[in-house]
Amino acid sequence: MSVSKYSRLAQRLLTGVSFTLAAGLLAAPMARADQAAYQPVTSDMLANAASNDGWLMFNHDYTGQNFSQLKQIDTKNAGKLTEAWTSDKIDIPDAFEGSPVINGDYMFVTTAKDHVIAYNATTGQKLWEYDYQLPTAAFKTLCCDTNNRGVALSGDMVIFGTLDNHVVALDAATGAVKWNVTLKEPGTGYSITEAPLIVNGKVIIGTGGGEYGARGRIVALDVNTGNELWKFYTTPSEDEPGGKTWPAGAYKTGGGSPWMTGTYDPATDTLFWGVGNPGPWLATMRPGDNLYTDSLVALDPNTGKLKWYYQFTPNDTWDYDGVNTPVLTDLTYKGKQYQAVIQPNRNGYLYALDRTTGKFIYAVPFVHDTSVTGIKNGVTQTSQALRPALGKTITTCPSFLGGKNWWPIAVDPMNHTAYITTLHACMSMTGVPVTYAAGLPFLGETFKMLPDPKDPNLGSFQAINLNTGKQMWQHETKQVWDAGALSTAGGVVFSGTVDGKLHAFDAKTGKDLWTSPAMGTAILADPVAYSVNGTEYVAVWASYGGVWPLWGGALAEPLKNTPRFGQLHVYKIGS
Amino acid sequence: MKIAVLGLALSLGAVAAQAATPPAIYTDAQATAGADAYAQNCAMCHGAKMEGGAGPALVGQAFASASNNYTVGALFTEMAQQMPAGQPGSLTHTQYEDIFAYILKTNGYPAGSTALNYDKAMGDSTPLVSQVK
Repeated sequence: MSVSKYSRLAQRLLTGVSFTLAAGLLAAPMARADQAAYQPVTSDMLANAASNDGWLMFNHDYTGQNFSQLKQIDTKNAGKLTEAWTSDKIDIPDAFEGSPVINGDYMFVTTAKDHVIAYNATTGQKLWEYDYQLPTAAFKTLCCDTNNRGVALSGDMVIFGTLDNHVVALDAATGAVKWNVTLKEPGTGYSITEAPLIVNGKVIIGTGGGEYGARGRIVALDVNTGNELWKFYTTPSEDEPGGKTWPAGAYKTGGGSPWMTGTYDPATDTLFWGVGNPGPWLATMRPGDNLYTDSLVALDPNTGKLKWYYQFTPNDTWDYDGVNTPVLTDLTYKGKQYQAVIQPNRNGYLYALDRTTGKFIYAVPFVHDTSVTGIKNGVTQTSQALRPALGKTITTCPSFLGGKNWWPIAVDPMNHTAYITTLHACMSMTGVPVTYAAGLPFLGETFKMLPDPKDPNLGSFQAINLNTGKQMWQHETKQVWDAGALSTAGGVVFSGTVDGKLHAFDAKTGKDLWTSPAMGTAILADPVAYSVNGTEYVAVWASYGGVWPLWGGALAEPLKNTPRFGQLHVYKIGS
Repeated sequence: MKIAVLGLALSLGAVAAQAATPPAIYTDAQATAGADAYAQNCAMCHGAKMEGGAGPALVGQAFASASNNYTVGALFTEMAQQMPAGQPGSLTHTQYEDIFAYILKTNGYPAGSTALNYDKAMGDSTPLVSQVK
């Protein structure tokens, strides 16, 4: 690695401190006596991440619950949270949507534009940084800013995907590159923003591009080499099962981007991944159900073979991606126990399926919804009248940004409660002609974001009882609520708001137990909890950018002067 | 024989296209007005100098190289129908004409006496290859 590789990120750090750190790293990579040797992450550790003191993967553990078993911070003392440490301000004016990943006293974060930084998790001392160099072409076919949602850990490696479709493995102790592979050329419609998932010695990762006529794919790479082991296309060709749900050839530009990290059930050795919207947006151009867009797919992680699927929105025309994290949790519905997988979907319904079979359990709306008219025999019914066509304008709810967007939810498995960030907005939409051209958007619809007449508050954070599907409590905000959730065994739930404040709520009542000082920008990311040497910490990125200012239209105007930079904040109890 | 002649014509055409100055399909007045409209409606995502930001660059080979096979019509339609991203189609026809003229100018296309017209530009099959390397 050259000095210049570091210096580009270093130049973006307002304090300039990283120049010395970078130089120090090159001279003596591991000179800090107080930093313990890095403990490699084994398959066993990943399988038992739910009881690990760290935060070993994007969603904490394979269930995707974003639930920490830590309980030092509880409902009685949460009001005493204070800042443990804060990172330098990073002068990149884009969204920081990553979840820090923590193993022992090593914390690994990604920034917007795909840089990786390792910190000491208790002091915030920077251990190393890796400045990823993106080609200009990579920015050509992004939909929603330059975000990178985080890393995966395996052995002594830190593994991440990039906007130009590379997957890179770094040495966790030094930041040196171990391998670097390319999945697809940049600028051709594909990009990676999700954190990888490590399962059975494989790096599982999916690509984005549903707005550019990409063909979605989930791939498995050998964790030691980056070599591709299998690839699952989310839009099947004519001669594959499901292929007849597309007009001839349309699967090639059919979208279906699996752009959020999936989950895994070791008991059945099954991988769960959400699949995004079909392309183009205008459904009249692709009659049929368009499998497996807007679906949950259950895959064999050893082969990539499809076990089952459930489609949330057949023949979607409103951009209702099915990518929200499929969360594994057990529940009791109408007196019957289920091993369930749940997903609050962009189409505005919260779905519960049997995770062993894919069989429908229930679905309930969690937001004002006119596009979905109900569920019949386990199949989502949508309004025919509210489908746009060439020259036909409709107005419907929720908007194309969904009843919820990408924000990870949290589930408290003991109380069977889901904590869900919600967007209350509607839209008008008109069909326009579009032809596919590589590297250009492939939508076929124009649109306008509108307030929800039934709920003038754009944002809310709601707790839903998963045994009944009923709301327990809700906080509403006038502006968008743009960040994910963390729940903990201490009975405290965390989420951040766009005024740059992190909130701690009582998980059962919703009572606001603590609010952080304003961070000087917004919060878009998911908070995480971890413990080192007996002290529990909560960490979250502050930043502004992402999908809301780009696509929110007039609804996002009030936030347009929000300062743009990234900064990591870490809290603990007491001084 | 017919195929061979066509092939020759195509290759001659390609050589000519590379050597020739691109056509003048907008006026200076449009590009001047377009600079203002661009600053107000586009620069926040595409950058003050079209260098890109949250949105892609609109200048140079990363924007429109010969291998992209873009036409004026495809890119004009894309802009007029889908931009600005948060409020697509919300500008006037004149604003779209002006902004596109400014993009053409920034990419090395010369101004002329014929104004760019919204309806005609939608179907214009003139290749669009940035002259900025």
